[in-house]
Amino acid sequence: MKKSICIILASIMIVCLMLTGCAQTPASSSGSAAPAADTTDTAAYVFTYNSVAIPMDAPAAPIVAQLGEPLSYFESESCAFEGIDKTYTYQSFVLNTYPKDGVDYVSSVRLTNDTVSTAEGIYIGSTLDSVNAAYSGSFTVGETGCSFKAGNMTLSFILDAATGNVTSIKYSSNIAQ
Amino acid sequence: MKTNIKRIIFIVAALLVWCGSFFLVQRLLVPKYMDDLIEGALTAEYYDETTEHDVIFIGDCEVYENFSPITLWEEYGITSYIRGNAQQLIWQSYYMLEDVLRYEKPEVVVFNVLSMKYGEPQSEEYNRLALDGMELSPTKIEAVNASMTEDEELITYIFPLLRYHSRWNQLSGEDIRYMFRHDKISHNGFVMRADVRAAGAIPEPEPLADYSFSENCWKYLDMMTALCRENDIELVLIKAPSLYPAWYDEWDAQIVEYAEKNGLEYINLLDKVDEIGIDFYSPETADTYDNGLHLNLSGAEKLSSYFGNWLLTKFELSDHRTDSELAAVWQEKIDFYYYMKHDQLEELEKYGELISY
Repeated sequence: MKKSICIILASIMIVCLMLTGCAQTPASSSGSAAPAADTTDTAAYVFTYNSVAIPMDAPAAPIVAQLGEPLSYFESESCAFEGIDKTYTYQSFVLNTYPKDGVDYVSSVRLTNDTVSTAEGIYIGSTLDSVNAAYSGSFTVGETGCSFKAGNMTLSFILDAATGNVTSIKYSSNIAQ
Repeated sequence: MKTNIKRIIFIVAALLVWCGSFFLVQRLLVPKYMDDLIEGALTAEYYDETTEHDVIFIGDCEVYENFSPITLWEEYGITSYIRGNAQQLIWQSYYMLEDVLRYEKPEVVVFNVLSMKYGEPQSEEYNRLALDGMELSPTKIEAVNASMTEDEELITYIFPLLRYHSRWNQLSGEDIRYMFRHDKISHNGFVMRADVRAAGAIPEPEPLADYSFSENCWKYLDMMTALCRENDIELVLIKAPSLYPAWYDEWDAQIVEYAEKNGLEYINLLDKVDEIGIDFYSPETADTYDNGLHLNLSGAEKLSSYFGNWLLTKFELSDHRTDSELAAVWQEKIDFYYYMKHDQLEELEKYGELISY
């Protein structure tokens, strides 16, 4: 009888050890199953404004401090999880951030007028041909847009259906999505 | 012979002990969603209901934060329940409806269309909030299969211990207290927030490369329409009056067209904000608690008052307030509602913000 009990207890212990030994992070109430925002991607495209580089997934606080006062600021809480997505609207672009472990990271930058351009010289109003010339490689081209993935970010262009010219340019983090 | 019987008894006993231990450890380790992230408890709370409902709301936070079933009862005698979850995707709404039909057949189903913007599973965290609490059934299996992101596995929704086993080092008093019970956290699915935070400058909606809803979303909307039709239920499509995230005109036009084509009612409540009397902007008295994303208690009561009246103009819904048995059930709900309302207002008075909610 003692032998039987020992076998049962041993099997329970083995199962428990198997279960707890795995290091997989649970989707717990801390919401920690989301991928960690670690380092910025050196292979990625980066928007620069007044010498301030704004890479995707970079900590937002120093960037926001260097950019100065935005025209407007908006924050939206997650429906359930802790943390606030923040939107900073500047004269010529909109910067969005996402929270992770108490730190805000850049999730996207969208250019809103033709006073700014990408580092490769594309601005709102550029033609599709100039986009193709500036960004050779694996574009995804839809009817009204094209995008290019580089590392953990995507650079997207929206095109006017009639003229084919660029109407919107957006850098976005693939980690934040 | 005797040895064989002993062996069988031993194996059965071992299996029972093993299963019991597995169950206990699982109960201990799964998140309880009571002290924190209470949205995760919404799905399971539905199964505590003892009476049926005329109206079932399905959708995301734009239903469970914006409509008050208590107001619908108090003003019109309409019985209703909200089966909503944070970022509840359209296929989850479809299966929530299927799940409802296992227990009751409502007169009207109200679906908030914002989730049409998501054509693919989004995140495991939100899947867990919506689906962990769903009773195991073929409907749950299908809901999980439709919802899983790339790295998720069906078996972990059937035996959540396989997902949460490494929570052992995050266990807290909450896990012990709520191992075999749960508190009521909603008011027939409505999550109450009495605080005020007026809307400021809402960001301009960003242009999209493609405004078409995905095939997957249309598929589930078709399934929802068909399911309601098969069960003689009126399906109503709504867009709740939340200022953010953006609801594009191009999206609205697609829903208008769909509703017309399928003979459904569709009401975009963003167009009715003034008529309803919702105030998003007064600093002290606005009807939102988070910049216009969701309504607060006063906003939800105004909206429910308007929507209840709208429902009565469209459908023949009975006023159940004269049914004494039902009235007794609802009186308990009303008592809990006003207890929480009073408690939240008291906290706001004392601390200037909600501490326990």
